[in-house]
Amino acid sequence: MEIKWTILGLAIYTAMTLYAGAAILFAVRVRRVAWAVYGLGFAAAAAGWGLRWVEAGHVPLQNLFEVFLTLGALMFPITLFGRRFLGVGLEWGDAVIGLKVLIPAGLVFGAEPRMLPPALQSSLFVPHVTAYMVAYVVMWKAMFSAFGVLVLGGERRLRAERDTHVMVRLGFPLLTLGLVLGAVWGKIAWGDYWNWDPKELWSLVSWLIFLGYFHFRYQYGKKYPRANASLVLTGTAAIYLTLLWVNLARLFAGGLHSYAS
Amino acid sequence: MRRVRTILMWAAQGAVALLIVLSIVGAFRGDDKARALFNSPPLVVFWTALGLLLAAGLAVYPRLLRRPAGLAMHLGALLVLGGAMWGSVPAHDLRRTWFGSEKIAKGYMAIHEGTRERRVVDASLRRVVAELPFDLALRDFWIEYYDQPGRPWHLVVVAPVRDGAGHAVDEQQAEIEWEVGQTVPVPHTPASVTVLDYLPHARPAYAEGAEPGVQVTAADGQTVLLPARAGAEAHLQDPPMTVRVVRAFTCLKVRRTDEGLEPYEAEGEGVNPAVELEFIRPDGTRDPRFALALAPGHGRRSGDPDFRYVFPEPTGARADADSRVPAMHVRVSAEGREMTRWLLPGREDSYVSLDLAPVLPPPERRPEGAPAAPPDETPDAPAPSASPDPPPESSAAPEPPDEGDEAAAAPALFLVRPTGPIRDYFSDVAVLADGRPVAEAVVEVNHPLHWPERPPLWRPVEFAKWLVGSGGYHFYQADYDHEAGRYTVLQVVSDSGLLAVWAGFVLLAGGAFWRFWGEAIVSKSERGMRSAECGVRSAECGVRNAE
Repeated sequence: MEIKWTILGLAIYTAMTLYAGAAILFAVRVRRVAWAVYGLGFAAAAAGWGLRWVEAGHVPLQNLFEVFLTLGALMFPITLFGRRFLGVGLEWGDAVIGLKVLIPAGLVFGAEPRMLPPALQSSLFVPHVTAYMVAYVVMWKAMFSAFGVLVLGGERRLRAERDTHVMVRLGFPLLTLGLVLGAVWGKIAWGDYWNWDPKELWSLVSWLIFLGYFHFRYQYGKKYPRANASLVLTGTAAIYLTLLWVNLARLFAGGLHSYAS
Repeated sequence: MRRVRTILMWAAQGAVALLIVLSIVGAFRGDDKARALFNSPPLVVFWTALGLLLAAGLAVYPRLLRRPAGLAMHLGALLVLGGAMWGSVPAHDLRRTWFGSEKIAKGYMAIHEGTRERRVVDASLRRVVAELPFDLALRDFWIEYYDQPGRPWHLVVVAPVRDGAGHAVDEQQAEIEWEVGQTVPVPHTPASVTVLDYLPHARPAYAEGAEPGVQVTAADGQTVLLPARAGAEAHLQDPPMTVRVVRAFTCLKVRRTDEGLEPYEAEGEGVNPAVELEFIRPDGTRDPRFALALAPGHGRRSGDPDFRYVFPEPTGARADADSRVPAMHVRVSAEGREMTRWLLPGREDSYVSLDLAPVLPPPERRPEGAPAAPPDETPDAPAPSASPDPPPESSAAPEPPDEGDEAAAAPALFLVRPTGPIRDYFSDVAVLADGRPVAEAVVEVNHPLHWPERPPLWRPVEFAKWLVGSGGYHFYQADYDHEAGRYTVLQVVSDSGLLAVWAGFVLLAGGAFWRFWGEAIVSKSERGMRSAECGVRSAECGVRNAE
């Protein structure tokens, strides 16, 4: 465990506390206060993110500490977008995700800023990683709805199935964009758009699972909601592995993305 | 047809599932084994089947053809697959075997500074696998580090470890904590060093009136030194010719114009000093040449006299805020001997050394098994103190090593750049066709060189010719000489199939956004418009809704 006794650490721990409070308030349906607390949590996470940008001298997306910090700051805007434009709720779940992604940033990974290695000094660095980060947050939001499909019944299950589908539709193009931008960048930096690197393969696995979900749903529609939801849950599990593979890779096989650890 | 579609959809789902399983297996086994797996003959069958499935899907699902987004995604996947297969190593090998194509999928080029190369080698850098139809000349290779503001360079001593017989068997090194004006011992030696001055940004200082020039050596040994000034000239006997300086550059660059390549003076003094020469033959023909300070020997042809850009000998150092290297003035003394020198690294050097042999007693030598002798006595030789200081070159000149000893057997001081993280690697290369430069580029990570250049699409004839000529290669910064930084290693990668892959990526990503975002936005907007229309003509809508 790595406690951060810095202003950045303080911002992260404040955001974590507020996200936890927001999750409880949403669950007990004190919605107005919950939104305010959730918004304050976002402000703290965003402040930490901005502070990190200044500290590191580059957009904080280089290593897992920065990635989890970014994910923590992204959660609130996605919740807001989902509620305002897509009619998808489950805000308590989003606050839990926000808390969960900030835990590794606050307590697991070191915050020592590092210079960008040559390969990361590219105009594709920010769009590639950002597309993936937003896609991941959206897919995790879909994951909560998919759980709902498995455990709920009747109208509520139908509603959860619809929410899941809406969120996966939102996230899949971003997942595709991240994959394509990564391939273009790989070609420019390493000479090959596909290097069979473990992280690349896991990102392909995530993409293929969601691709399979769309084909299955195209074929059978809402006839097998549990099967649809299971595919989404498998896809989000693959996303977790993709994101964390660089660390797990120490146990198995490394690759070109090892600088991200 | 419905049954065919069902079977096809399940086959597609099966192919996706199989690809997921294989990807997981590949991820656990590492990239080398995964690459071998996905390029193996059974997988070639799989990729072909996947391509056929995609094509069949487009054929049996007319809805895909009617919906641009679905069509784009499937066509994009097909193009990526086809382009990747066309550009793969096995496809290149097949085209070499069956059609005599000379193009290779990938390889490496190791090029030394000041030399040209057209041979492509394998990853071991030993076995030649192909020759390119043009040369690449490496003018310069350098590494840039992240700025370490306020961090002075390290002063380090490297000294030999000797065995019982006095032979150097290993090396030991230690960093010296230094401050200007202080005298500190040099570890592993009987010497001490005093840092007299330290200039964080410095350039060599030259004697008044000294200037760079071109040294020309004829076949008969005649050597002339032409100042780097337009109009300077000299006559040679063998071969008989007049050598004339046409132009002098402090930073030579070349740009492409309608008339061809044009050299010009770029901003940035001292970055690429060069001189444009003319060899005027007795029959009046004039051959242009360029003498480049950073690439000695570059551009010299058979029958030419030797010519090279030379700098005058520096006499010391001066502060210069634009310089990226420092200078350190040191006095080293040991047992009555003393020398004073400037440590002044070159523009791109990451260290400079000073041999301590002139002030140290010679290493003790004795036959195997002989007992150790008492400590050396003070040598009788006078201290080679120098004032004014000799140039770094002369100060660093080591004594000839004793027979059987290692070259680095004398202790030496090193002024070393603070080892911050590397920012980037750069290879300044020129493409030579028939010996003439036709392009130049600085290859760095994320900035490969592509040659021959792809003509733009709006010149279809040239573009078709380029495509039929099987395209070109990308050259990537891959590795370098870790010992001395004197050569670079470029990865050479064929661009076959790349256009199809790029087009596929655009269709795939564009199709995904249109299918899942665009269609929803359009549909919502249409619903909104209908709803607004209903608001205006509520009676009519009410009837329509009732129907």
